[in-house]
Amino acid sequence: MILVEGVSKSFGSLRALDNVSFEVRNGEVVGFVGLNGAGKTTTIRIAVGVLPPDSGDVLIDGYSVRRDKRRASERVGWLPEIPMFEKDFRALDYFAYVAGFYGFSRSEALELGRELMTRFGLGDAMRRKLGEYSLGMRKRFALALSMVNDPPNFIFDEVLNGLDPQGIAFFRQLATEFRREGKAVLFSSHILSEVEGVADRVVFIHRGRIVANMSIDEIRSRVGRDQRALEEFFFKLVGVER
Amino acid sequence: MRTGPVLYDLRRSVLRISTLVLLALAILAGVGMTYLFSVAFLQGGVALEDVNFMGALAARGGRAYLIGVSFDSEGRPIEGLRVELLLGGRVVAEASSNREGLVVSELGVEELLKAVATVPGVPAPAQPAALPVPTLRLVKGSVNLTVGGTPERWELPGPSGVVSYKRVSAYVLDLGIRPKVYQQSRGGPSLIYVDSTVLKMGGGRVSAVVFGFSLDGEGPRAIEDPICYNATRTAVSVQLLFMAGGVPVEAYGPLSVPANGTMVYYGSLGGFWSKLDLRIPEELARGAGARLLVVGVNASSRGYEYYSGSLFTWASRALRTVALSATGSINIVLQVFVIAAIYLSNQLMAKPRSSGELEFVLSGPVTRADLFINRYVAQLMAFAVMAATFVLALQVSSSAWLSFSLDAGSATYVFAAAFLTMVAFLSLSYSIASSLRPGLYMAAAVAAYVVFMLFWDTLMYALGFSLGLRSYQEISEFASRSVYFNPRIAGAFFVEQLQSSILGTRGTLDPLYATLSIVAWVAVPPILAYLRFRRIPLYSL
Repeated sequence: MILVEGVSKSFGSLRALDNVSFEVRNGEVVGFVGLNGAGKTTTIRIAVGVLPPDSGDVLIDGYSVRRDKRRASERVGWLPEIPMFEKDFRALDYFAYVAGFYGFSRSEALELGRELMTRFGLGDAMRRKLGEYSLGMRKRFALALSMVNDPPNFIFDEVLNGLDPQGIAFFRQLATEFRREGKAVLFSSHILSEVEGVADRVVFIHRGRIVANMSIDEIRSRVGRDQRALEEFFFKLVGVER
Repeated sequence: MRTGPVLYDLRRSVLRISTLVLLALAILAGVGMTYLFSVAFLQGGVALEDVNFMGALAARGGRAYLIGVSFDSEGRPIEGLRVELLLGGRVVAEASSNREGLVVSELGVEELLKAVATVPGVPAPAQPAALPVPTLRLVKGSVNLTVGGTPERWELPGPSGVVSYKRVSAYVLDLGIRPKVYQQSRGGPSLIYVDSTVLKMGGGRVSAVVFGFSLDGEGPRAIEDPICYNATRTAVSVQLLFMAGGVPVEAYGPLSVPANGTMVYYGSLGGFWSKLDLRIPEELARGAGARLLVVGVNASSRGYEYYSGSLFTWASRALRTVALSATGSINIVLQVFVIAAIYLSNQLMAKPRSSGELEFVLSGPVTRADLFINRYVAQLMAFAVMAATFVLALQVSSSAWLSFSLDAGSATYVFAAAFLTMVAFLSLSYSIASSLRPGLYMAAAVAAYVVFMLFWDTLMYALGFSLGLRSYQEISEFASRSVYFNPRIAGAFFVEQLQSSILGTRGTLDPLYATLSIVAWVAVPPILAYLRFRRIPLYSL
């Protein structure tokens, strides 16, 4: 379970997050929707422990990312919109490097790396340098890395951006699989219709504040299944003229 | 801290082509040092010990004596040094030094003179041919040093009608700054012999050893009248021409004479360029009939004035070469290895941090402290590998080539100098790298390199001058002390320790201050940098 509790964050004079709170329960996919710059990625960066909040906390299965970062991070996988890796590493070596932080020996890590990279379609690119990877490959590689210890919680950050239809289908299917496995999944997007097919619930964020948190059934009961109506609902919610 | 990722970062630090090139340079530097050692050894007469001997062979009233004093590079007497006088390869006199370092041995003068007289080709006594070159052999512990000499001049018929006066220049002083210290007097009730040498040590201290005795029919004895000395100094700056100074002359002062016959003056004469001038009272230098055969051998493994930075010491040519080779090579290696610190900090911190490449790693079970320390430790280990490679190359090549290797203490000093200087620079560059973008980081790191590694001394001399210091000594002391404020302090301190271990000199750097400075340079920048690193975003906003 992912519990975001009263998180605030400022960058200089810019208030990026203001007392953001919501939760993602086990076996649930929660859409995290907002316009560009609304605060989705900042919230997620704080949730995965790469950015310290000014106040508030995020609990991953009860472990604080501020006070018990190692245990919290062990329990959450992260797929960023644009994964950045050190380009001079070869992919399999980088996998073993990251797996080392999870306590895997080099031989264990290499074996696991081969297995996961093959599973996610990178079997032929294991020896290539990460600088040679395309965006889609980097996302698949990030997925493989996030699955090192098969964490019970997962966060997708704008993961469908820049992907072809096949890639989009792959990640949507993956989120559904994770829900079936009982994982808590947070799936962020700036397009409501992208999460509509996979999410059980949607948290709306605008200008650093949570403006709505409702189930997908509730949304459908209000606007039906029409894609255009969904977007209209979203814009009305955040008070933006289309 | 997990060791696996550290080892990966270590591999990435070391197994870069650029780092491998540096490792190759470290090997070359080690082998190069060995080559310089070999050049030093080929000159012969090398003993890595701190032994000096100054003495005379004096004859009077049909009795001849080998008289001298043994002392270390700081003028302290050496007990138990066996001194052998060889003529024609045969030991004709030998004695061991007592607690005061005094060596007195009576030898058969007739036999000596006969030996001299039977040298083939000896011309008429009025103008005798060269004596067989007397040599001295000094033996103590690992020292087994034979020093020969070149006859310098002849004078006077001896009591048996054969020449008995000769001076041998076995000095290996060749900087031409040895003062005119040798004086002798013949005649009167006693033969008076006085010789001295100047020991120049670190920290601007200059000391002298003066040795003298009188000789009459009863044998050698202490000089009871005061011998006067005069210390002169010149202040000529080799660093800054506009600092040339005057040549003050101090008044002659009395030199105390201890009862054992040696007069050891030990104390500051005022500066690096001091000279010691001795004056024997006229009343002691009168009369006739004295005979003096002065061997005048300064059979020393330290018979050399040596200058490195602000450090003068007393060492043999070979030792000087060894010391210069060691310190010179270390300094060259440091200049190159410090560049490696700048480069690796960019690769492992500045670049990945500013491009967001550390974020994904940090999303795992890793704290910022882990990440910061991991990469620091990996580079630290990389530098340990480089420094060890350097020392290993030196030891292996010198063992194979010269059947010689630095003792464990000296090797440790070499390693510590190389390693800790790199670590201090790593701390500085890594700290800058953790908070600046690569471009700014490189500019700042290169600026630090230029200031601390290349132009520090010049800057400090200029600063000293601008602060109103005018004499060379004041400014050089100021510049010398300023190294505490330079991350190069570890190199400076341990190189000085190495020199001290080879040359037997005292260092100019205070061990306590040096240690505090090293700890500060190694620890403070990363701590301050981490306090900032733990809050900053690891991506470009």
